[in-house]
Amino acid sequence: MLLWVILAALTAIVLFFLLRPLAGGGGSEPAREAFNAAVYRDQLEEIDSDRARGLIGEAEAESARLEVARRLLATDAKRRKAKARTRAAGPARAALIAVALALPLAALGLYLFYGSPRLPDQPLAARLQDPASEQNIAVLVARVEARLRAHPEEGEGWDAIAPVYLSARRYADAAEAYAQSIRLLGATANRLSGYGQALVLEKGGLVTEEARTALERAVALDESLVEPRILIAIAKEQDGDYAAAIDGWRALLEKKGADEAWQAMVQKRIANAEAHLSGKAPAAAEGAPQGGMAGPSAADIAAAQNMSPADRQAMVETMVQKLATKLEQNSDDLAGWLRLVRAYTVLDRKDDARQRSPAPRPSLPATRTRRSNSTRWPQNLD
Amino acid sequence: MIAETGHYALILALGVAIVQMLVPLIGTHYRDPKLTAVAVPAAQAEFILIGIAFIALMTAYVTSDFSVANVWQNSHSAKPLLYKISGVWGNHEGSMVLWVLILALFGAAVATFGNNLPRQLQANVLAVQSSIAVAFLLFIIITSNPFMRLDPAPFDGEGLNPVLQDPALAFHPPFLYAGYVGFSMAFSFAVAALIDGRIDAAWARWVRPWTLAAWMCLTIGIAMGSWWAYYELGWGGFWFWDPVENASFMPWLAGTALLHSALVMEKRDALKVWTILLAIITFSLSLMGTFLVRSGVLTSVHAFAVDPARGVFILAIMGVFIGGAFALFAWRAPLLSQGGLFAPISREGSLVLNNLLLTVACAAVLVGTLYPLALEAITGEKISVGAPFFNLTFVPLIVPLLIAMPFGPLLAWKRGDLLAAAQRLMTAAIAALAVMILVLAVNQHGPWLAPLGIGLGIWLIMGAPTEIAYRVKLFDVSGSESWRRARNLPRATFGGALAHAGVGVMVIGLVSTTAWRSERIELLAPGESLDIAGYDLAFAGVAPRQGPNYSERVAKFVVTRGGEPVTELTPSKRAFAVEKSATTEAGIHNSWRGDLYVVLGDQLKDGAYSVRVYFNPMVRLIWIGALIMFFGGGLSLSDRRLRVGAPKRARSKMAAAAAVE
Repeated sequence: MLLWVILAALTAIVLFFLLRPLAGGGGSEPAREAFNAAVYRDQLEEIDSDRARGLIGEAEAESARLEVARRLLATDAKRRKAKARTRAAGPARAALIAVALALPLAALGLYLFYGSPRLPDQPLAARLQDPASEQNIAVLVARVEARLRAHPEEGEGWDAIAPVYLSARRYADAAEAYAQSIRLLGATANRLSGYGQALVLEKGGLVTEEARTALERAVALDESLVEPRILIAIAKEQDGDYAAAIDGWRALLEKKGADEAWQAMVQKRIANAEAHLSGKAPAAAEGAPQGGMAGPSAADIAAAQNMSPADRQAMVETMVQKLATKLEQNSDDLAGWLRLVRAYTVLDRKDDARQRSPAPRPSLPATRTRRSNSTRWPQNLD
Repeated sequence: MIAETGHYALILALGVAIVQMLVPLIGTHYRDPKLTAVAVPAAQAEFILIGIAFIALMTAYVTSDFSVANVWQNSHSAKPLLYKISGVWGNHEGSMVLWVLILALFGAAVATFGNNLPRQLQANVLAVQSSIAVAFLLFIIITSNPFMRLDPAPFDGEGLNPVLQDPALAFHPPFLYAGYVGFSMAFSFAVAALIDGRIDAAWARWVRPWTLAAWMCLTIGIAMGSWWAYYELGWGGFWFWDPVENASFMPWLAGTALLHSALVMEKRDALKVWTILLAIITFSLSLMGTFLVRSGVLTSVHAFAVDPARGVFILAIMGVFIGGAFALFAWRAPLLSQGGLFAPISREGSLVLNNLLLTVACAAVLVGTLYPLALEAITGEKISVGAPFFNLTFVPLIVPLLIAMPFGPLLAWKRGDLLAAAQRLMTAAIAALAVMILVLAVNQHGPWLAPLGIGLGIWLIMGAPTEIAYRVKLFDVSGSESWRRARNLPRATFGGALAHAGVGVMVIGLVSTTAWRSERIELLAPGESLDIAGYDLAFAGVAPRQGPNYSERVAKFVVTRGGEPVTELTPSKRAFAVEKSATTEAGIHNSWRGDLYVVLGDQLKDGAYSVRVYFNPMVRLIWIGALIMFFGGGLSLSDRRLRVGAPKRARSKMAAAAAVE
């Protein structure tokens, strides 16, 4: 409501100043020639004072005076010819009515088309203090980040935010957060595993030495973790050690029942490695590209918040199913694959997983819905 | 609510601009003073409304209101306050708002301080100015609206390009735009004169301050951009003939020519049609610069907008204004009265030479900028036209201009005496020659053209005091008399001389940096050292450091010179986590001899770093020269006195050179 009052006041003030000349009495304006003559008279005075100061000689001054005087005379002649210009109030009245009606209507119409009058301002400081936005994971993340900037030595904060970063695909941030939590709280299997995954995904699927060390330590601490073992096997593939990679994949399959969708990937991977061993290199490239897999939309998440636990479980299962189907078609999507593994882990151990993490997995809400333009442009220089 | 108020204010400004475009024009056509009088309050209201929109946008940036899409795309809560503010114009939408804000500011200034203008001319000027505003406001609201909202709002922004987080860049665009847009004033005056069908010496006087102000802003804007490129991009260079740089340089060249031709018009009522044409050309080049930068047709570091819809829109704006103005010019210019006569050797003649060389040089830059684009558009072949092209075309054109420059102010109006001027310049010539020989003696191994360049710079610098000495009749009359004359000299004379000297200072900087720069690229492990231009740099090592929104690796170099400690340089590489990009911060030590410039490269396997070290002799003179030019312009602007040609006798012997129209 206040917004409309402000907009109306703004319009009224602008109209008042704009229309005042149109509504006023019809005084005549000074003729143009008067302004020209003023300039030329100024120029004549200037010559005189230059002459008086001795800046120019008498002959020069005389010649300059003549020239300016000629301009002045020409102006005077024009001025005499020009008639007095006063007109009836007709056109002014018409213009007044037209502007007074059209301006507010056009502005309002255009604003209603482009504007969002119902959206309040949302400055960050206010949002962080607002308890109503408690539900919003995005705000939670921002709050943790703000706190970590102020207290970077709080390991719990890093520990909480690291998996969130990982699922938000902010891999560099995730690696940093895992590293900090390991430094401050000590290494656990989960942290090492997350750290390794973040490093690998940041490098686009390449398992670096550092990542491999972390992953191997994670497996040493907890044999049951799946993700690090997948990555270790991939590392072996990348080294060209296909036999060892196949051993790794097989071990994974033996440990778990073959009913989970991600295991189909493992089968493919084994076939792939065997092909390599027998010398027929398949087309599929390693160091799989990542991305391309959309998380749940904002609407999905919003819907999930109002569901019963059973429904929510069902929704997560459907989403996992969708993800698995997509991966069937694109088995090189390493990030998607790891997410699928993680999703099954959540389904298996949903209770403790939910307690430990501040985020409803598998992903952050996609808030980029109402973009002004669908294209991205690099913000560069000028 | 603040954001929405800003959005509405922007839309209302469009409405007011349309009123300002139409009503005064109808008024001048029917000679109705009430209608023409609308121009003044409309121009003021337009400025205030766009100001409200700009402040609203800035508020959204400062408070990190990520419900505004533009803020979310270009800001981040972790960014320092200064860059939150500069982020407003560090992106396409915001910079366009700044563009129209400055446009409206110039309009409001003409409305408020233009009491000395004939009402009709003022109304026409404001109407033309407003038509530009209408075009760009439409562009902003339809294709680049900064007030689009997001619901729900994201939790944090996507950051600003880290390369742009720099104090010089925070202020470079406002100045550059003030320059670009300021020339719109000269354009509006020119088009108003064409609509009016009349133009006289008084017109030149009215248009001059606006052109001068725009020229000053553009000068300092270009200098800041070059300064920023020098220390931020880490290439050790200061000017790359990049299309975006050229886009700002061309209006500068044309604007400089305009400034000088307006002088002739004001004093001698000559070169009128040419001045009008030049005003149109200058702003057309500004528009083209805006188009090149905003549409993303260039694949340079500067191109931001990759949205073709925008490019087409700006192209249309450009076509309408440039095409319209030239059509109007072709139609109306023959009706304008021709101006006075003068001899080839005269102040007017020298200014014509100035105009000729500046416009041809500008054309050379235009060809060098547009040819690669045209070629790519037609054949798909990508070529780059770099420094060699401009060295071959631009430099030979500008050198004669520089040589002739000190002569101009010493020639009288109407008919000058070249020999007398040459005699007066003898001191300057001797000084230049002496320095040339000295430089040659010190640097016996070439490059051979460099001493000539230095001599040219000295020649230009010495030309300025020569002019003043001539005007105050130094040594011809008593000292006190000279002092009295000096105090009575118009400030514009000092301003002009100062600006010309600034060009000389800049030439010295350009020549010495280009000719005697030393450069070394080495692999350096901590503990090793290298020497350059008499300095020894010991590489102490690299350490990590945490900045407000980046982490960096800082290298430390201990610099000594002949065993004496000089300074410590800390070039660094910054990594910006949010933007996922990196910048290079050069370590620069400046002294009167020049700049020692160190850039840290990548780390190699064995722990060594690639290190680039430059020594740029006297490079600062380039920007100091630009500053001097800026102050010269300011001094001239502060002169309210009039300038009337004071021609010498000899009206009879007028060696009839018709005005160059």
